[in-house]
Amino acid sequence: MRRQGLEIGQRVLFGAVVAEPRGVLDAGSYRTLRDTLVKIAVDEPLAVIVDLDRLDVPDGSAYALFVSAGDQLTQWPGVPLLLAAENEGQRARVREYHLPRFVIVHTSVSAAVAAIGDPPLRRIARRRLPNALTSSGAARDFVREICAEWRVRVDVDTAVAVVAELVENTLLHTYCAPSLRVELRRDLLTVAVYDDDPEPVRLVERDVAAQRRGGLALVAAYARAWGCAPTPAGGKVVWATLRLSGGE
Amino acid sequence: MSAMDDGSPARHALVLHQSSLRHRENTVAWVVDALSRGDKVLHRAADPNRLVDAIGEVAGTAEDSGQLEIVDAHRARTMTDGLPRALHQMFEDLVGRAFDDGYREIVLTADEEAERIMVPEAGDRVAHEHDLDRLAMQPGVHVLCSYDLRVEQPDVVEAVVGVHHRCVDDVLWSARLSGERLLVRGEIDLSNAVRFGSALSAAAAHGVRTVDLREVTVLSAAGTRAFEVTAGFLRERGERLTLANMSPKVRLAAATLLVAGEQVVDVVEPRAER
Repeated sequence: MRRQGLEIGQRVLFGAVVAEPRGVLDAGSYRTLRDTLVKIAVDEPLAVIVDLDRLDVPDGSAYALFVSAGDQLTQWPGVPLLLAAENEGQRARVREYHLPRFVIVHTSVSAAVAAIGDPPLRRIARRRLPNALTSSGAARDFVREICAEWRVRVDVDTAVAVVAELVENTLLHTYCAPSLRVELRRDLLTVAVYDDDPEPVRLVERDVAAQRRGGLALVAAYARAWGCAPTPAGGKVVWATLRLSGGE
Repeated sequence: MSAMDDGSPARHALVLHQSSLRHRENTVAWVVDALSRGDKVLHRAADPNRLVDAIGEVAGTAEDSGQLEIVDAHRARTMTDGLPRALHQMFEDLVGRAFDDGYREIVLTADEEAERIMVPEAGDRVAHEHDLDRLAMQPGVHVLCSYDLRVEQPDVVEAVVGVHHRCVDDVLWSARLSGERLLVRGEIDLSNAVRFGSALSAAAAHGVRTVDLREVTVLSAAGTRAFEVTAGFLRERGERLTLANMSPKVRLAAATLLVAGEQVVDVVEPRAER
C-alpha cells in the first residue's frame, strides 16, 4: 500500500547526486521535492539526477516541476538537472506531458550518469532585463562582472561589444524583455540573448533591415560564431561564441 | 565636476543625470570650488535652504558676505513672468552687478527644480539655454546646467545638449571641445546615441571636423548612427568627418558600419595622430 506523501532518498554516484523520490507528487509535495532538489544542488555536485521510477504523478501538469527546477538549478548554482526513467509506463507519461521537449529523460540512471558533461556545461549565468534603453548598459555591466567573477580568459571588450549588439537588437525589434545568458564551456564563452514573447512584435520602420544588418554585422565581426534559433517557448535566441585565449 | 583640461570650470557645462544624488554632488562641488577660489556664486534655487543645508557653515558665511547669492526661483518666476527675455535681462543685471562689486569670476548654478519653475514652458527652456550660453560667452562667467533625464522631455534634452556641445556630461559618455576637436569619453549606445548625435552635429555646425575617440570604450551599431547623420551633413558640403584615436574594437565598428558602408568618415590611426 502506498501512503500519501513523498520520501526522497539520495545517493552519490560518480560525483552526481541521485534523488530517488518515492510516493506521490502533487500539490502537497511539489514544494518539498523542488526545495530538496535545490538543496542538493547547493553543494555543487556534477549533476542532480532524479530517478522517476518510484514517483507517482496523478496530475501530469506537476511534471512542470522538473522544467522549472532544472531552469533554476542551471541559473544558480549552475548544476544540470537530469531525469531518468526506466519504467515504460513512466516514460509514456512524461511523453504525454511533453517533458522531453524541455529536458532529456534518460532511459536509466546510468545513462544519465554517462550523459553528465556531454556537453560539459561548466558555468552558466543569467539575467533578465527590462525592455528599456538602459538594458544595453546593464547587460554590459553584467558581462563584465561575470567575466571577472569567472576569471574568463577572454577579451572582455569583445564580450561586452557582442552583448550590447544582441540586447540592442532585441530592444530595437521587439517589445520583449531580453533575457541574457552567459555560458562557459570548454574553450568557449557563449553570450546569448533570449526573447520569450511567443509573438515578437516587429517595429515597422523603414530602416529596420539596415539597422539589424548593422548590429549583426558587428556580432559577426566580433564573434567566432553566431546564430539565431527558435526556443521551445516560442521565442528566439540569438547567440554568439567567443574563443578563450589559451586552452585549459 | 566639469572642469576643462586646464583646471578652470567650463564656460557652459551640462550634466545629465538619472539620480538627484549625482546632480547634488556636482552642484555642491561647483559651489564649494567657486567659493574657495573667491568667485561669486549665483545659485538659482527652488528651495533656498537646500544648498545651505548641503554645504553647511561655509554657505552661511558666504551668503552673509554676498559672495553667495541665492536667487529664489519662485520670485524670479513672478518677476519675469516666465519669459526667457525678461529672465535673461535679470541674469545680465545680476552678473553685471557682481562684476561691479569687483568679482572677476562668476559661477551660476541651480538646484533640481529651479529651471523648470523659472521657465515652465519646455520650448522656452531651450531659448533660455541659448541666453545662458550668450551669458557664458562673457569672459569670467561660468554656468552649470543640469537636467534630470527621468523628468525632462527628450526633445528638450537633445536641443539642450546641442547648446552645450562644448561640455556635456551624460550618464555614460561625456564630450569636451578641445581646440578644434571634440574629445569624447565613455560608451555610445542605443540609450544615448541621439543625445550624443546632438552634441556632435552642434559641434560640427560650429566648425569641428575631428572627433577624438581615444577614451570611448563602447560604440554599438546604434551608436554609429550618430556619426552617420553628421558625416552625411558634412558630405553634402563637400567635407568629411575624421574619427581619430579609436581603440581596435571601436575602429572595427566604425570600419564595418561607417567606412565600409558609405565612405562617410575618415579614420585616422592613432600613430598618424600627434
